Amino acid sequence: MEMMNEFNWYWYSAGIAEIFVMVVCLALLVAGAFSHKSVEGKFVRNLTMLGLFGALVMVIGHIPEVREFAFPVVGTDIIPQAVSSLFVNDKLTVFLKVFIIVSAMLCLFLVDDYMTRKKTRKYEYDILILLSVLGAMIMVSAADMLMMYIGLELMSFSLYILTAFHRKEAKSSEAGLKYFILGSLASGLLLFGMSYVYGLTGETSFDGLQQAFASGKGIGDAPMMATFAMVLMLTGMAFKMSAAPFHMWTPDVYEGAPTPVTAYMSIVPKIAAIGIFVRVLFEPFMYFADQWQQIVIVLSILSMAVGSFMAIVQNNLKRLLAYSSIANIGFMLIPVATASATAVDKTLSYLLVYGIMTLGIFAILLSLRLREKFVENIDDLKGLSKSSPAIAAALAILMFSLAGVPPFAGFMVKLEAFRVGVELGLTWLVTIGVVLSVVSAYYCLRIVKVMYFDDGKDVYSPEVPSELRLVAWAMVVLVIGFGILPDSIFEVTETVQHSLMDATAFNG
Amino acid sequence: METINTNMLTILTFLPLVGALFMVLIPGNEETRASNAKKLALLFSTVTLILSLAMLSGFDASNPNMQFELNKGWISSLNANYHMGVDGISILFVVLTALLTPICILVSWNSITKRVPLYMAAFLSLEAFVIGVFCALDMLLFYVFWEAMLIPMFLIIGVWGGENRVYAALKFFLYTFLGSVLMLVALVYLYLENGNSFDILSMHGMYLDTNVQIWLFLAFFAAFAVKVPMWPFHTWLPDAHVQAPTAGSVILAGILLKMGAYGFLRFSMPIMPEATYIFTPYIYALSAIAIVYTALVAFAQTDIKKIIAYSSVSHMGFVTLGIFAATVESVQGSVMQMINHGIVSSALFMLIGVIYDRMHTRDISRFGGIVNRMPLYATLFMLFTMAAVGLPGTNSFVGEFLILTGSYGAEHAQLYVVIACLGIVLGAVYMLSLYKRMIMGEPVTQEIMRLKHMEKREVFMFMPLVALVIYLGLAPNAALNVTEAAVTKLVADYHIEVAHMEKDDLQIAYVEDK
Repeated sequence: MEMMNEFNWYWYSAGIAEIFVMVVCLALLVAGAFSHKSVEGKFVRNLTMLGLFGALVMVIGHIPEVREFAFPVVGTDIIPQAVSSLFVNDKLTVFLKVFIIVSAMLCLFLVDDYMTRKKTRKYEYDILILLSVLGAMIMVSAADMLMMYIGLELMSFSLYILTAFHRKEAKSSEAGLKYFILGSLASGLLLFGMSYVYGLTGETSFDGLQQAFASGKGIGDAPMMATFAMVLMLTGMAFKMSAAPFHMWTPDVYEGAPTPVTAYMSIVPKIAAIGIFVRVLFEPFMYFADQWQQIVIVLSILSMAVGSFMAIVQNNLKRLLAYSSIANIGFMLIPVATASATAVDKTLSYLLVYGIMTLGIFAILLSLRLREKFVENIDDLKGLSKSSPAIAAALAILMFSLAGVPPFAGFMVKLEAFRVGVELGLTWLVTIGVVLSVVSAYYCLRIVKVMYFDDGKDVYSPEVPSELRLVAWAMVVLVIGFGILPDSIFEVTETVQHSLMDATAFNG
Repeated sequence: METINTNMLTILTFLPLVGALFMVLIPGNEETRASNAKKLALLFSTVTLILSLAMLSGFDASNPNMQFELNKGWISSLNANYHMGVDGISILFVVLTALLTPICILVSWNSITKRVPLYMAAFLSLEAFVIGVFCALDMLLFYVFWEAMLIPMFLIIGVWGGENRVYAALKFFLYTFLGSVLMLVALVYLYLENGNSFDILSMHGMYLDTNVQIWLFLAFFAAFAVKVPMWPFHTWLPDAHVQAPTAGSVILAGILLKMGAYGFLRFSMPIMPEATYIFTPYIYALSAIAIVYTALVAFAQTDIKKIIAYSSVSHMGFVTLGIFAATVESVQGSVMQMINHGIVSSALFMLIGVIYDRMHTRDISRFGGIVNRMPLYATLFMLFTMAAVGLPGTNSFVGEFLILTGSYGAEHAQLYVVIACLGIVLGAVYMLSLYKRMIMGEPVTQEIMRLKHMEKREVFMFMPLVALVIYLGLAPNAALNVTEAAVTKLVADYHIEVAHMEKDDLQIAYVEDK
């Protein structure tokens, strides 16, 4: 704790990427306001991309190997890796941040066509995205409850506004309001739990908490109290991940939000939420592993079941994808439910592939217009395989991958999640999981069925923006490539997972 | 030569897949694309057939081990390998697949008119995945092929099927998928028990606790029993068969059903011998029920395709009976029966397809007296009907006879063998009555008298099957020799394991008595 006293500007540079993004945000707000209406969109977009790219480079600069390569003369100390007990930049955070930034950049590619056609193209959109990226980055780097809370709120508030971005559409405003109210409730629960934890231990940092719990501090007098506080915190985070039974907001918000926002929302906040969820469980609350293991198992089973069964009866594609995301969170939680830090890389690889598939699916949805209206319902896809065979094939591949059918990447990551489950003694949970994956295969097949088996008379609007097509096909190629040769994903996530293991081992 | 030998299976597996990719790339308008797709698909599948025959000729039948083996790294973080190889049991299925695919393409030549390139791509990729299933010696690889095969079959039934195709396609997919994912759990468990290796051969004879074996057996059983299909897991089959286009039925009956029985031979018996032994009486019972019950059900059908579909379940009942009786003769007979059923039921489905293309109905009451107009058709139908009922001199006789004699010697099997014999009689009942009602007598409608004769293409596609029915009927050793060494080894290993178990049990009982 010596270092805290010497706190100075030098230590701020550990968060150099975050600070950079913040500066870019503020600068863009001003620049957008003062630039001419006709150029502001393009101008802000380019700078946003540039800002994200800069942040990406800075984040990559935190990888030890890169640092040794890049700073051979001045030494790797020029940028600190962590502000002790407040903010860390280990491999896990680097991985998550790269994932967040790249997804955000790809999501920005998907926006233009939709917003232009809906006549809601505004430069504030980019800045809000940038702010939520900033929140997500702070969240995954947080090593302290307050830091985590600040990140979470920054991200959530940007998302509330983004959800209601089409403010003239009742659905969008309603979704925004709903998301805001329920989200605030969840944040409140999280904060409530944090305050208990602080009251019990007098610590806010993850390190401090871990040590306090390990030495029995805060547990002795009222053992239930600490568990209760932890449950409150888990509830708040489960809400952000949209794990059942805290998923109620998801379908409405997914449906109401503008589609590009839905795409963004189903990837970036999930990365951040899972990242912090894993860190909180395995670092400060490792002591309570026996207790939270049961909670995670219940979350996992409920999410898989609710997501899979409810997705079957949906007619709206965005609602269906919302339930699908709930189901997939359930699958991602299986490795976490083993309560072993060595298993977490399977959650991360699943998350990565889930992000790829989701991005591909949304890129396709955004490129399909029926009678000049964006496709919203499953029935709108009728006969797609005839009118645009290539797009139908791409969507079918993504759907089969989502269902976990080999030889696509979705299968490989599911297999790995199931494997660690069996390996670490949760065979019964895995069995429930595989059976529910059959249920979830049904809604994926239903989309293929509509595209291939049903006849449609409608013709889809022909001109598809090239960037949408590019993103969609890139994701399809990745899904096939990682399905046949998944090694690289598993290797990366395994390296990343070590930093979590080290942290657990070091303090535990 | 050496490189060709080691890469033979890879070529056989992926050549059709390359063909499937070509289908996507064919340029031109719809008509030229369709005709080029057909020709190209026929070319690719014929080359695959020729290569598979070349492999068969280079196969050393006296060697019971894997041949044409190739073992390369695939997913290092999972320790999964690209391990391919064939032995006497699997090679015949590879050849059968390679034979039936070009026939299927000929069958569909005129009857499929919409989205031909996609159809051909589906068939070629199906061929690739099925060959992969029979060659894979790594469990993960096996599973990937096993599941991937569902995608083209799902499309074949769903896009080109009959009125109720959507229901049938979804039922087919979900039913098989449910069975398969349970197998996946067992597979992962085996992987961990086997020291993080998916290698199938290294699992043969590995030590597993009897209780564990029972659970694993049940999980694998879920996948295989659905695929075979065994009664009462067969309900997807009539729907899938009836709704699928003719070629889809051919491939389904001819090959896909064999994958389940092959699974019993490759996984259940060698890896879980004790559980296999424990479950044998139940499988006998299910097989006997399948043989008799589905034969009766077949007799009650009015849709001619359903009759053949149910007869498949009945015939596969013999196969499972023979496999679990676990004598050299019965297992040999089962493999033989699978090949025979692949030939005969495929031919029967094709015959139904020929008449369906002309009359667009499968209702048996609309037929009658076809012999007056299409004598060649009637002759072919006669031949395959005789083969289906197991007349001596046709191939099926050999298989069924071996199964029945081989099983009779096995423990507790006598009663079921007697029931199975009853099933043969019932088989003759529904097949002959089908023949009589469809082919014999006076034409029931004017439509029958206006039927077109069989085209050259149609006659030609039956010829290999006719030849095989007679050849394997008269010289069954051609097939039996290939399978003998591998089957003998399989059965011997199985009995060693079972004997161990019984000895252990005796010892335990002895100790407990003391």
